[in-house]
Amino acid sequence: MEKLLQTLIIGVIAGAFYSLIALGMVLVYRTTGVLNIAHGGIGVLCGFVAWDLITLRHWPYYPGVAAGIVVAVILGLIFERIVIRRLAGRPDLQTVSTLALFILAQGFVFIIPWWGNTWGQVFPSPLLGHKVRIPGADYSVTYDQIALLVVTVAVFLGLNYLLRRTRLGMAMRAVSDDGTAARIMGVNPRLVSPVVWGLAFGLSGLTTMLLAPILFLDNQSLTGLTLKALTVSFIGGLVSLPLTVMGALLLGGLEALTQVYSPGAKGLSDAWPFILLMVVLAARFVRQRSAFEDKAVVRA
Amino acid sequence: MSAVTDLRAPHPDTEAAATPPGPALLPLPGPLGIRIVAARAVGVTVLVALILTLPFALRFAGPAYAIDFGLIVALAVLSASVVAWIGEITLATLAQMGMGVVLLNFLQNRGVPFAAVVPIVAVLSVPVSLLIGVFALRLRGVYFAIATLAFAALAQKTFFQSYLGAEGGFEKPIARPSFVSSDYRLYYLIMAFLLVVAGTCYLIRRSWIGTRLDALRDSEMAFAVLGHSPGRYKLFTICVAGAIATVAGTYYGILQQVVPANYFNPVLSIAYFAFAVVGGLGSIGGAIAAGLVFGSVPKYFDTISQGHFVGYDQFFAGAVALLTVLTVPGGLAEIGRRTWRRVEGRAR
Repeated sequence: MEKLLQTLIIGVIAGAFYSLIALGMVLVYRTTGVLNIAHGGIGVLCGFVAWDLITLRHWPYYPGVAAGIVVAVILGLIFERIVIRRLAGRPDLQTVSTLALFILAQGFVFIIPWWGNTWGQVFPSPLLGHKVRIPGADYSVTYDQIALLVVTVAVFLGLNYLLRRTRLGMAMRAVSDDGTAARIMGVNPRLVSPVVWGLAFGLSGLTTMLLAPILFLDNQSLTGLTLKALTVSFIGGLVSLPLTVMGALLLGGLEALTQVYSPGAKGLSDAWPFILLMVVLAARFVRQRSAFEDKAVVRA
Repeated sequence: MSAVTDLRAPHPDTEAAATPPGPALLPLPGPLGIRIVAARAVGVTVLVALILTLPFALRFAGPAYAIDFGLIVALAVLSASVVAWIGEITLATLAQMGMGVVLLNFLQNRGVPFAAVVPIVAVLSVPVSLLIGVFALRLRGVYFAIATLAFAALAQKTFFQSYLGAEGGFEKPIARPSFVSSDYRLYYLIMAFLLVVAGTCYLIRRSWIGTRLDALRDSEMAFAVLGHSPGRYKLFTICVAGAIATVAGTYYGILQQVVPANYFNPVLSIAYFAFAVVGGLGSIGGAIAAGLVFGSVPKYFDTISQGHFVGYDQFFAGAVALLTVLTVPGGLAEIGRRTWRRVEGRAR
């Protein structure tokens, strides 16, 4: 029982990692139809900016982190103005441009010599060293992990509220569904688009600020998480926030179960995203077939 | 599920149909015809001379290893570009290259001669390609891209990590065949293979298969209504691309001999796709040019700068890819076509 509870906690924390990253990608895809592959790359870049300010230039923690997030938002606005707006109406090229931005951001992190990006940097946190012991689990959760969980829940609820209940969120969805109809109804896509990209890039910066104290700040580990989060967002069809979070928790849980109960199964833990992908694909295939057969029966 | 990525690589035929009729492709009599004939003759001569002398001509900048590596990258980029024929993005190119390295080691350990290794590897790549192709039957656009990325991550984390290890730890290292003992000799071998592959791809594009692939890319529904099987053509294209990438991996194994698992990081697949974008998605010549530029130039630059600028290649690749998407979405292929029209005096 103790072991199971421990597994559950590890799984939920890992699920929160994936959720937070995937939510940012779902936000962009749902409101623009563009798969933002640069999400992880921008996050790492802004994480290094914050780390540079706090560790090397001795800024206080909160202004340093805020500066990192502001840099992310500004990059989002610049990217929207220079790239996304110029490629309006071509989501294929916009997706490819985010891919190029990902490589550019990764390369930029690599060429700054004093960032020492070939190994992981320890990201400072005022919560470092504080832990809460979970009764009955023989396991302690750090304050940083609790902060991550709280922010993940807040981001999930906030994005849900934004997209479903606010005029801005509805305008975002309207522009994504039918830009012409949205314009006729008085929505200005030129005002909506910067908000989406600024928010998404800001979210990627925030994600890194929360993940980096728990893991290390380096290109590889955070990019690896982004790749897994992409698979998780696939479970939600890249549009459903609740399904994305559920997928993330499922993936985190399965990984934790494998690590705790069968540590000898080398590689199985990393294979779960692919296995989940196959299962989702098979489920969709069956659902589509049954829908098709239903239609055939009705026609007959 | 609003927008699904729809990569529509321009095809020379459709482009030609869209533009007003200009001078015929065959040289015309008169001054224009002479100019076209002369330009083509000079172009072919320069190209042949370059192919024959490239590693020696660039000896001042660095060893032939750099150009060999560039050719292998060109093959990998061509593989990514071939998948764009059906309007899809693959991010599993590096994973398929890794399969090539593993298969090479496996076959060498069983005493298979190198002449037989390449065809066997090409045939053995088909099951892996079919596995990836299954996704293409149900998924399109970004969904297919994510599926290929998940496959690449799985292959790297499980198969390559355990088989190759962090330092490329084969029990018995890959042996280089005696007839390609030097990097210069290896250059001619890989170049010959690249030319054969490029020629085959060109013939496919020009044949009825190429026409049908264009139709499939433009409208899968219409293609199916006409009685063709989209799945069959998709699987064929993915298998061709897979064979190119896997054999590229075989050559990479011969060049490096020790290959760490980290080389097959899915992130590098994303970079290779960016190279294909710079070359012009779907273009054969553009993919080869982009692969050579992004594969060889950083290596030569490292040698010239004595290692002071190691790691700048990724930054520049990202910057160039972004600029290409913004300014010339057709990539190097489009620039090449425009320039060549000017040279031949057919520019409008």
